[in-house]
Amino acid sequence: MTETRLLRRHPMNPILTAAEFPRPVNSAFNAGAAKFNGQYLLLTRVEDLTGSSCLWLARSSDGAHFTPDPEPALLPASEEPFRAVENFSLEDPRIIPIGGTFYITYVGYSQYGCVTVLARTSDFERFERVSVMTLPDNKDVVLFPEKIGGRYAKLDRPLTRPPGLGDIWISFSPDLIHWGDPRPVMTPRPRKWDSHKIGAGAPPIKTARGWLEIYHGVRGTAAGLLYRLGAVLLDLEQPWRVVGRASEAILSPTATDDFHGNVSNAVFTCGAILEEDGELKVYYGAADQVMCLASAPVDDVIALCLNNTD
Amino acid sequence: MTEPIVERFKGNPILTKDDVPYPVVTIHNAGMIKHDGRYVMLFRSHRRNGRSILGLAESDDGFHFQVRPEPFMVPATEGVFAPYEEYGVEDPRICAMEGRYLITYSAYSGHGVRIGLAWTEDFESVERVSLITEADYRNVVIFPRKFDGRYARLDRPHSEIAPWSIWISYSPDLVHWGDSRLVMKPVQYHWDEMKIGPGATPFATDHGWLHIYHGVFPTMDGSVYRLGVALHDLKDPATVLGVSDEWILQPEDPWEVTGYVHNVVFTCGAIPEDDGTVKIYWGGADTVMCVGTARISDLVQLCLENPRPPY
Repeated sequence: MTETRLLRRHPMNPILTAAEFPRPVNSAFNAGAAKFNGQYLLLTRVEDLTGSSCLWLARSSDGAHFTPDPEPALLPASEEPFRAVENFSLEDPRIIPIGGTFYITYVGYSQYGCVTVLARTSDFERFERVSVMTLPDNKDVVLFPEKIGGRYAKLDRPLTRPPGLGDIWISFSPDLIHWGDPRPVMTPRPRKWDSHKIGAGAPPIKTARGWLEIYHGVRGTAAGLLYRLGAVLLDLEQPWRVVGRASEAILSPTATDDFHGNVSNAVFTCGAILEEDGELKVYYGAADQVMCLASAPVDDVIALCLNNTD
Repeated sequence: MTEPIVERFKGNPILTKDDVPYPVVTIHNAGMIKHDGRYVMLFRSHRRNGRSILGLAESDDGFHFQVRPEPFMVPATEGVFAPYEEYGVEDPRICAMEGRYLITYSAYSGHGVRIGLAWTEDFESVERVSLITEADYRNVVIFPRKFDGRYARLDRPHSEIAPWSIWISYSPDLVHWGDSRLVMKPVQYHWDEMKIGPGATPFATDHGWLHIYHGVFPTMDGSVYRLGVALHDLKDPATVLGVSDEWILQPEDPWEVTGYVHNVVFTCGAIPEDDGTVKIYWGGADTVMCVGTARISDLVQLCLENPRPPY
């Protein structure tokens, strides 16, 4: 079919499904993505048959054919302070390389709400939890891949009530433990495709024109919530300043994979990879069920951000 | 009839809008501290446009207060704080720390409600330091002591999944905060089942930090705000040694049962005295200021001898 949005779907979609995992699971979606030692990695949210999610690595040499590891990478912690905040589920991981370390932000879900936890690895074999990064409810947390103004920076999505329902905020840290100077970056846009709430998606990618952030936007419809992907450029030195925000969504549920699943009509990204030839690969979960891939020349995405027609 | 835990002052309400020499319609939810031997009350008032400012009142005995002629803090009109205080400044708490007074207050705007930190040395001038939370957060109190070199605060994050609870966070510098963890949460079908939040700045006793908090119960006629008490470990304030199963104060006087927001007693400050009592200050029905006295040993005993689970 003809794509009506900027991102073009991979012909192999879905590229990773529950059936490919070595034990029975319900779904595999919302994966963080990274390149490591020449391989593509997807740290995938895998929901088991009880309804609880863990994080499971799948590896690929070409970025399209992925093979899951024999065992999950991260299961709910047994040690405090992590046990209390993630004893239901681990969800929606992002991978951010900083220096030689890969940081992982994921949602910890418990009876106390949802928080974001920071973990790290240097080899994708051993994983170490660093800290509980947020209070509840706060998810869709991505780190910037380098310090800005001498401090680490993160985008996040605290819980606010109207009129600011689901905004993207930024805050800063000297040590990845303590966070401060929070300020709002972006809000939903009334009457547009991202009018209900928004949240950071893939970790920001550095480009000459600014930090490229692929985010998700949600619109309320008579049939429930509709999740799409959008693009925004943030200022390189003052990343709370929006340089350009694409008016249009860059990916919308239109393929069969996106329509049908546990949460229909949802595309949701936790990771994108910019190739040396300028191709932007966006990995996304479809319908909270499977993993898919869509891509576009990064220059086209940047142009869409800068040609905002609002 | 048994003696009440908190003995209300016979002269309540101790301050009403009529005692404020500028136009306001309420005086409530005041942070409290003793400064140079005098009681200082930093109160919230609604202006006639429905937005709040902070005023100061002073007293020699803790019961009879004189309000200063001018407000103490009004919403910032320039700088980084201005966009976040457009709708008002609310519910201040005062913490005496390192020779100055830290003030945490709610900054309200179209971005939601978040916590601002300011400080003063003399209650003559005040300096805003940092916005220390995102939105929506209210009711942050800072412990008047450091723990392993870090400041500690009690938080009240909002959740769609869990009843709103009390958490703790730590900071090396009062600007960056982290290591958050749950401290206590509401108990189902209990007087505080809907939500709880930090109240007065905690004060040290021989048995631990005493924290007077507010708890809310939903009824067919709206919410009832009451006060409860919890005891935190002196060295590790994330550990709750006991939470009283019973409330210590509920709306009973006419100016607590009726007013701008009826059925509310809400505290932002308490002052422990040398004689083993504590003066607890509360807003009645978001309209007037009241005070009562309790024996600290009674409050500690309630926490330790008849506790409910912290979470």
